[in-house]
Amino acid sequence: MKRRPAAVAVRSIVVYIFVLWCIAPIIWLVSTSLKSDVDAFSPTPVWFFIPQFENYVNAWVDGGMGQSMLISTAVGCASAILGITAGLPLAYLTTQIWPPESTGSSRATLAILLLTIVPPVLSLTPFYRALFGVGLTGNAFGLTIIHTFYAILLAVLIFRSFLVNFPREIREAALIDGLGEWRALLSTILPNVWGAMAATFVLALIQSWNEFLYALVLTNGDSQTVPVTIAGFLSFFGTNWARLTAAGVIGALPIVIFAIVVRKHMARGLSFGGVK
Amino acid sequence: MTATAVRAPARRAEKPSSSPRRRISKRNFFARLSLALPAAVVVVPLLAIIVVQGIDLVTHAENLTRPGSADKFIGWGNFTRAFSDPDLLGSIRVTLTYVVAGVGLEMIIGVGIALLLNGRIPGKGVIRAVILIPMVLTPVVAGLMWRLLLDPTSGFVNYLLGVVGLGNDHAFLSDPATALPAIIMVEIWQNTPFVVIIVLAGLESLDPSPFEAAELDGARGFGLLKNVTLPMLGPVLAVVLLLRIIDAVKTFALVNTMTQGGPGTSTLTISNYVYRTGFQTFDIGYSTTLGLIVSVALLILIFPTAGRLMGLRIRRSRG
Amino acid sequence: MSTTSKQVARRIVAGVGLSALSISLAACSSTSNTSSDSGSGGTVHVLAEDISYTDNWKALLPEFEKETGITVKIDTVPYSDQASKVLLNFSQKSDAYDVVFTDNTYGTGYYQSKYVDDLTSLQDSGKDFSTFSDFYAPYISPMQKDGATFGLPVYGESTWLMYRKDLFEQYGIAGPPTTMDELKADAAIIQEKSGGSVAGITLRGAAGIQSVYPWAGFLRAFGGSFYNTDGKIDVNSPESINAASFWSDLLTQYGPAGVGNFDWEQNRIAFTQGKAAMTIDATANGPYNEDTSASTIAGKVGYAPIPYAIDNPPATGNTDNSLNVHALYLSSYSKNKTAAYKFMAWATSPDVQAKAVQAGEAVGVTANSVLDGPEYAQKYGAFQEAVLGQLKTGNPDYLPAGQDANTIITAVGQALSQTLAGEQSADSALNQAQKSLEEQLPQ
Repeated sequence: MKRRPAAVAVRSIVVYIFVLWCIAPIIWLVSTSLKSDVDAFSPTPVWFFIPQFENYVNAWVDGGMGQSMLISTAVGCASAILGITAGLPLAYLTTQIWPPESTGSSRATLAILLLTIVPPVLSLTPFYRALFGVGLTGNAFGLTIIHTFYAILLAVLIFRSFLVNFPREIREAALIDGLGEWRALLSTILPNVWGAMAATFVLALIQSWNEFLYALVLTNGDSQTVPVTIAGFLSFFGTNWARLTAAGVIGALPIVIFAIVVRKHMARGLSFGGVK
Repeated sequence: MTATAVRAPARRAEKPSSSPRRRISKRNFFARLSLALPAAVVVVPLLAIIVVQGIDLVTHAENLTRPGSADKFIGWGNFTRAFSDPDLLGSIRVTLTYVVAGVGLEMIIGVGIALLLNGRIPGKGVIRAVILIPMVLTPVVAGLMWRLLLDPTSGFVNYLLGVVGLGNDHAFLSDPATALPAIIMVEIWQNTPFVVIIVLAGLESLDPSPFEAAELDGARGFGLLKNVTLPMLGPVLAVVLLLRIIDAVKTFALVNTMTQGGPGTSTLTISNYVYRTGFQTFDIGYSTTLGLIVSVALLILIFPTAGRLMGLRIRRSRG
Repeated sequence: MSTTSKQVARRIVAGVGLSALSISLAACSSTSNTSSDSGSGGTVHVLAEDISYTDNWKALLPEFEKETGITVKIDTVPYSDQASKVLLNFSQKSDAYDVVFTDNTYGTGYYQSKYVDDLTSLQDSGKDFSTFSDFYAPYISPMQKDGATFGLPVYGESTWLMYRKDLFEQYGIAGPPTTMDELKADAAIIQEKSGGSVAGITLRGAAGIQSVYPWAGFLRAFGGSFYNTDGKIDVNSPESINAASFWSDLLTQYGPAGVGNFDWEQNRIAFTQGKAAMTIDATANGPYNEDTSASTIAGKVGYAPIPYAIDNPPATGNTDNSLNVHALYLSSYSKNKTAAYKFMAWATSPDVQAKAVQAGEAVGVTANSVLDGPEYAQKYGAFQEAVLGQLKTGNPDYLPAGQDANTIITAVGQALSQTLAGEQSADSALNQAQKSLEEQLPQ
């Protein structure tokens, strides 16, 4: 196909405008986080300023972002790993043992999909009470359980999409060789789903990292996650916007980097297999 | 469990649901069950909690500020109250506007940009990485950031509008005519990249032969797009649309950080209304009822389509 | 079902469901470093507002901990989510927090619900730090009922009218308005003569407590109340509708751009940046007005009582200025009440309050000796008299307080926001609020 250079130029310009629209607010956020509070609130933008890195120190140390990053990392990693560990075998069951088009498989998958549609505001109080009853509120454990729940839903749907066209003969051959289901899963499937696993891990981590409602209700002080800590900077008497934006940048950085690193697998993971 | 064993490769062509049921050895049965166990250990108890606590909550007039109110059984009282609640109706209207306008524009812009990106464009790799950022940004941060950008006195958006002569003191978030559009704009800002990324991946995975055939037939430009590209993209577009709708219907954090539902009730979405009822006026029984009604309505609306779009079949069969 | 059997049922569901989970989780996750503390062993857990007074405690805590051997842990959460957190804990009889720091609108409700304790019997155990008589009487009175004292005041405030003396002089206005009609006329003069560059008046317009707090002053100024004479909820009285439409017209005609979303901070910034000539808000705004590093109007502000619209305004009782106090409350479910009370007595003691005045923003301190002290006078002399004057007439029933307070404030706040946004008339918005409240509140 031949394209005229002018057409390429026009297309490029439209795309660049879109990219600018996506990225300009982020650039503004980062620059605000480096300004003094007075400059940050100036009615006419201050284009040149001396970067105030103490906003970051302030958010990290006094604002407790350091502690929150640790908690968020722990909760996010633990729930992502548990979600993968629980989700992969179920996806294996519903694609390799039960044929994907079978009633059992469809029903199980629909049930999982159903659970993702339910808004979190519905389950917030029931979960809080149950977790409170067994001493799992006010620390990161209860939150990890809830985030694991959502990570499992995500993992089943993503792994299913990756495994749905995986040739079932391979498992059958393994069974004939005398392997059990679990060994068959580990030896035939696992080596083929590392990409899906990377995507699931990162998406589950992002989901956990950004989640606000449960985190707010289920954790206290030392166990607060990143979004709760950031929202906590919005105080009734005067908000320190420079510190708030610095915390926002710190909080977003790890997941942005992660997402960019595994972006090749993201499209497929994000669409639950809509894209092969 | 109605698992159908398909052990020998020769049996593979058989339709599983119509094949005769086979005896599965006990050992085998437990091995299979054990595959579902790790997920069941987490999901089933939590589901039981939602159901048991949920039934308890929706049938009682519990308000957290009044100890003892948890024991006040009112049967369907919460439901009859919900059906005459003007704020619930209003919040449904707001949510519908949000979903239709937000997701609709995301789809149009996203598909457009993906089509443009599907070809030779300098810096494509970088573009694909950079547009991920809005999508993964914590919604709390995104909401706060845009609240500052849209501020009538020191917001950058007003500065830009002032520079081009459109006035520099628009109070977007406190005017009921512009507050919801402003939030929808942020929704579009944050989630259009999602559409772009998936549609672009879909475009790249399309079989090139129909395109070549169509070009030989003289189709190009818009005709090619309408008659070949979009139909072939159909399944991908359907899934993207579904996932965006599921997500947008549940929106909470953007509204909560930008307007808390105001001015008036002009941006009060369902999730924000349920949250406000439960966690600002502590009317926890009623709030759970609202959440339940909305969930059921959503399931009825979305579910049948969802199954089809995900390539699942819901068949009636004797269990 | 009785409460106990219900609690048991809940525990069984939760226990069966979660014990397996928690075991597996505890085995997998060694990363989280916190576990729930029963509050015993001399540890006191405090849920606090994120404010200068809390910063002051955090700085001074090592002394207290050394002196008493009590460990204190202070949590802060977003102000808007604090009450839901407190109530979720209280309703489960949780001892996660021994002490909560919140305002008397909530605190009175907590006391009604028996979520917080009467402190009288504990007074002696904290007398080394402070006693009830150390507080300025108007500040502790909202937490006193029928001989009980259920909270120790940390900071308090009233409301007043703040106006720009320089602009009033420039545009030939004699002095601060004394009636609501004058207030409106003055706003009109300023808006007109400044060519619209200065708004006549700014007020908080955001829904909820933000707008209801200053608006309640208008309600009282028009002779209204949230309740009728039988003590029944009555938010759609003619007085109330008049007050709401007056308030809404005032802001629509003479308010700054974006006033419909103004919270306390945005309203304060609009005024201190010289964008409006008047505002009615908390006495806590005083120091911000006079802060030369952030305010462009320092030294130009006059302070006056809030005008009335009715002819015979009450001198005490149902006055149109608030008396709002943020206090420390002791959870009835605390297992460590003596230690918790010691912390409360220490945190509100004259010594600690004096240091708060030295260290930061603390115009609302509550101890007599600090209010009368030279440092307070030096720091807040510009308006000290006016503040104390407003406090003396402050109306402790200014806002609805108690169990239903938040429901009423939310409903009225929504009606105000709808009126201001032009979605409904004051009449129909308040009628709807009244109807909704009658449905929600046990009559």
